[in-house]
Order: sequence, then C-alpha cells, then structure tokens
Amino acid sequence: MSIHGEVEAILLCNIQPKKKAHPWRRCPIGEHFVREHSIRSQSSDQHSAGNIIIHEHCARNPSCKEELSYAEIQHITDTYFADLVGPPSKGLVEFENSNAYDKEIRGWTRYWNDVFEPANILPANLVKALIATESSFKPDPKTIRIARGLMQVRTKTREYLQDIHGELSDYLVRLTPEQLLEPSSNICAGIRWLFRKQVIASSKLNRDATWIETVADYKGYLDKIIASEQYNLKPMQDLEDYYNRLGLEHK
Amino acid sequence: MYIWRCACVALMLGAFICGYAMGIELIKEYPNVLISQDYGILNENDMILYTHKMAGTVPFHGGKKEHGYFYWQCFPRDHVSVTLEDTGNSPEEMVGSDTMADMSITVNVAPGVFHEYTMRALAPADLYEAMFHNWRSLMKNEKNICLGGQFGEHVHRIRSNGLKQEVYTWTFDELKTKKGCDSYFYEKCDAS
Repeated sequence: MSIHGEVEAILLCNIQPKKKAHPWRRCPIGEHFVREHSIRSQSSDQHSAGNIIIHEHCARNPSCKEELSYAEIQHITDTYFADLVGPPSKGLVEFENSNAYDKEIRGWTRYWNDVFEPANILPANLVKALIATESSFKPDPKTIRIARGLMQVRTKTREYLQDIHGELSDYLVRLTPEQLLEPSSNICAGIRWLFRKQVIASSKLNRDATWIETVADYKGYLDKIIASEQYNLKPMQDLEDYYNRLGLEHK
Repeated sequence: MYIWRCACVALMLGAFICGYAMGIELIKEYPNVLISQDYGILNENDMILYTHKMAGTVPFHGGKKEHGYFYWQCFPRDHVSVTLEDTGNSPEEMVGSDTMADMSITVNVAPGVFHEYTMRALAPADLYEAMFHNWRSLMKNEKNICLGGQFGEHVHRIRSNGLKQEVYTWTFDELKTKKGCDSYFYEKCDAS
C-alpha cells in the first residue's frame, strides 16, 4: 500500500497503522493478502501486449474491516500450522480420514481463540467431533443443496461471513463457493461461524452459552432445546460421544 | 408367436436370476457392508463406497463396535415411512427466510422393531422439502428400497402409551431404488 493509501486508510477507517489482528496475519487490520499473480496487459504506444507480474501484497479492504482472504488462509496454514502441537487428539478410527485434518483444526481453533479470547476457550476436540457429525471427514461432500465441506458450512452462512453490512461486525472471511470446499478454508470459516453462533446462542439463553449449546445452535437444535420440544437427539448424542471419546483418548 | 413368447419369458427369467445372483454375490463378497438382500438394486460401487480403506469393515450385530460404520440394507417399500417436519423456527440470522425442517425415515421390520434413519442437522424447509419429493418419486411404485447409513445404536424405548420399541438408529446417507438414488452429500450418486 502506498503512503497515500495508508494515510487514507487510517483516516477513513480509523485503523491503527500496521496493527495486526493476530501475529500470524500477513497484513495489518483493514487489508487482505493478495498472492503473486499475472495479468494480461493491452498494447499501448509505448509497450507491446504481454503479461505483467503483480507481486504479492496487502490490499485495502473497502469495508475497512478485518477480513481473511483465501490467499491469507493458505499462507497462515502453510507457514504456521505444521509446527503446532496439542489437541485435537487422534482417534475416531471408524471414520476414514479422521486424523487427516488435525493440523488445520488445531491451527484455526488456536487462531480464533487468540482473536476472540473467550472466557471458555473453544476446545479443538469439539471441533473435530463436530466435523465427524457434520461430514464424517468426507474430503469433498460438496452438495450445494444443504451445505459445503468438512464443517458443512451453509451457502447462506458463506454470504453472512463476508457481508460487510450483515451478520458480522468484524473478522469477516471472504471465500468463493469453490474455495469453501478446501479443507483449511472450510475449517477456518466454520470455526469463525461457531464464534458468531456463541453470541447468538448466549442471547437466546440470556447467559453465556456453553460450546455444546453453541454447537446445538450451529446444527439448528437450540430453539427446540430451549422450548423443551421434541427433536432428533442423535446428532447431538453422537457429537457428545465423539467429544468424550477424544477427551479420553487425550488423557 | 409362441417362440417369441418363450424367448421373452426366458429373457425375463434370465434377468431375474442374474439380478438375484448378483445380489447373492454382493452379500457374499461384502457381508460387512450389505446386511440384507439387495433385490438387485445395489452394485459393487455402492459397496466400495462404504468399505473403510484403513479400518476395514466390521460385521453388523447392532452393537457398540459398529457405531459410526456405514452399512446398506434394503426393505419392502410398504415397511418404510418418511417424515418431513417443519419446526417453525428460523435462525436469527435467517430473518425473512425459510423456517428450519427435519426429515427422518422409519422402517418397521417386525412388530415393535424399527430402523430409524435421521439427518445430520436441521436445514431450511425448502431444501428438505425438495429432497422429500425426490424420495417420493424414487420410491413410487417400487417394491423395495435400499438405505445406506452410519450406524448409531440399538436401543429399547418405552413410548408414552407404554408400548415397548426396539430401535436401531442410523444417520441417513443414501436412498436407492431401481429408479435411481439420492444422497445426503452428493448431488449425483451412482444410479446404475
């Protein structure tokens, strides 16, 4: 970003210069990462037509809000996740690929816990248990009728995650429907949505929602639970079973 | 004319025997994936889909060991009922949009014994409604249907009227008839 652009961003967006939302972020708040790419230039009097290389850079978000782009999600995954240790635990062997996404679950759970600093941190094992119930770790359950990817993020949810005038006041995640199928992006978006769901669930309950209650809202069952109405217990029972087993395996 | 009739009968008989033999082959070759006869509806791809490449397969006895594994089983159509329920609730963030719905399939295999296939989560009513109509058309005039799902548990329940029920719970994955199929995850499934 040019000095002029930076001053403009500071004035327009009231952003602290070069402050990052998280140490892993490549770009400061209000900007998003753009990978190196080439564009085709048209011929002019001085130059002939050809490819121009645009080097990787941080571009300003028109929203002035904190946004994660696909390129930055990939950059964070590639740069930081390989060396992380800790939960989730290995396990749930009945599922094919059950341990294949532990790195991404570990990384994005830590990232969003660091950003939001909740009183009770989101357990990585709960995210893994949620993926087991949502997609059975199927790498590409891409139905567009219901939801997409490992965490089965709904089409509408993807829109909410990037709507600058909508559901999220900050920390947006901007992904195309195809990018949402990529495991790391899907887990990043799904966990961001869980944090939003915790706010919604807490407002429904008039107290801080637990993460289990938050997951019930993610799956659409919390209203039924609050109203003491009958509902399909199996998804939540399965979730708690998987979560407990992962906890036991961790011990 | 007589020869043609004979030829037709022979062809039909051949197709029946062939289908039956194929079913027997599938159940012989994949006894831990297919747990009933398949009435010629399923094929080898359906079996491979549920064969765990790392953990293998586990014989089905309705116990805790099988929890989470995928199995196929087929039933006479008239034992199967499908329920679509509009919950009336719509999530806060979906203001002005559709209410949420749930769907389930119940199979009454013997007096007091049921298989219950349920969905993984609630979904906007229009989505499940479309699925419900698709299933109805797939099952219309069919004698048998096959269901693929992930086993949950085998429980004994007492209903509010005091009736005892033995229920096998499943997470729905796929429905298949001779007309075609519908999957929870995939827009297209192997309809052959």
